[in-house]
Amino acid sequence: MDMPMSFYWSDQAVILFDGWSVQDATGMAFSVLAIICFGALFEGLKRLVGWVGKGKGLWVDRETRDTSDPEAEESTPLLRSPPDVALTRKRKLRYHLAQSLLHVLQVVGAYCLMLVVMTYNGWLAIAVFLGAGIGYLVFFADMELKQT
Amino acid sequence: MAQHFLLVLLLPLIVSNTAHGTTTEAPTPSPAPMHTGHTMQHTMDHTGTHQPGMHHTGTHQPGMHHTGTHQPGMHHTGMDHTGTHQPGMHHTGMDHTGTHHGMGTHHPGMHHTGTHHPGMHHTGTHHHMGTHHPGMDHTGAHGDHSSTGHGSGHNTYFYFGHHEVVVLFLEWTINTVPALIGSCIGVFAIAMLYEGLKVWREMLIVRAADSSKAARSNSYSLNNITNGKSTSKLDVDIVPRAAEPSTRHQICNCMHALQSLLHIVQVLISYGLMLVFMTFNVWLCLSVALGAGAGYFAFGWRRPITVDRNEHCH
Repeated sequence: MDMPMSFYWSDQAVILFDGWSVQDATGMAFSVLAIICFGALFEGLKRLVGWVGKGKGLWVDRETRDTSDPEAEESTPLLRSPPDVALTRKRKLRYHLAQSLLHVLQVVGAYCLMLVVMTYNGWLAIAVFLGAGIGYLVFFADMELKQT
Repeated sequence: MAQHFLLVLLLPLIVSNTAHGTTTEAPTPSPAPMHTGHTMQHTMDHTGTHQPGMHHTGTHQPGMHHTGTHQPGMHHTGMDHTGTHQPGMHHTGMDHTGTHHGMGTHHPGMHHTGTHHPGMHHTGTHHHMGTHHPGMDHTGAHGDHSSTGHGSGHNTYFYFGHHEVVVLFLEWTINTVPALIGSCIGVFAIAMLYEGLKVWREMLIVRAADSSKAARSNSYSLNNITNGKSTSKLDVDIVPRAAEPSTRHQICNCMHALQSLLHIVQVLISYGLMLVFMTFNVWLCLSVALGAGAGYFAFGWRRPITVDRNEHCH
């Protein structure tokens, strides 16, 4: 495998796939724009994963509240019916599955961006950094604290 | 402050751009000091091909096999690439059009994955690459590690060495032991600062959230707001929706702009550290890892939240 090992500035590059080969300045400009958009959307995807995780967290709280509350168990033993718990578990599982799929997409996106930087083309690397910045500006604007 | 830091980081990129703008015309091979810090070496064994005007001086080693291809006008002025046997070589999209083709550093856009070579055409006469191959003629050039005797442009295994180690930029070439030590210390410092930057960003967010929540707390009583110091986990957003500022105001305020700039810097440094690790030099990789550990140790005790969603590959 032969790869450049230091940054260079050129209008020619092959990005991620054999078919995506850039020959001239306009192609490079379009590729830079595309990578900026992809980087920005990737930040949005990260936000989406956290958001789905929060949705899952609601169901987790409900489940733990249902199963680990001794007062409720003693006072209202008949109201905690098994289908309720099963429904909660199913909902939590669905949220978790959705979050896992989104996590896979996020990992794929992260590695793709890393591979774009690894072409060592200066313009493409700048595009990745700018995409990250613009995506953060747009999608992390409400300044919430980090979700686990 | 963050802007100055960005400028300092971008300055080497701008400098390297202007440094490689000069083209040299040397169609005849002449002995020249080759490969100042250029570790990319390749063997091109063109068996059964028709190549007028192509001369490969140097050792003849099995490498890339261009069987049955017709390459008119392919002009490699003394291009001798010694390399390993790479049965998986695939040159597609290699199109060097144009006459004066002073490429910035070396082989932009050349990606090799696979066996055959469709569409490889080298049109154009003068094919000299920037300042590095003015009629290069190096017989038996060695790689940057001497144990096995063959060198390839990109190592896929860890090696100990300090000869011709290119780190991120061609100007940053390590050839001596003091240079290696200095580079290790520098990379260590960058990794430490990276951890510090992450913690600092978290502190900024916590402090901004605290101050905004304190500003909104006069309408109702909240007894888990601290007195301005950064607290431990605050993982529940308990402010009602009506009191939040609009989205446009959230995007355009100063704190978020600063956070975005710091985000760009963080992404830049994280990719840079990854690329340093990709040199596969054991000393540099150890510096990255130990620097990250030292930074975590030094700055981590102030860390408000342990999990970072902004970490790029999670």
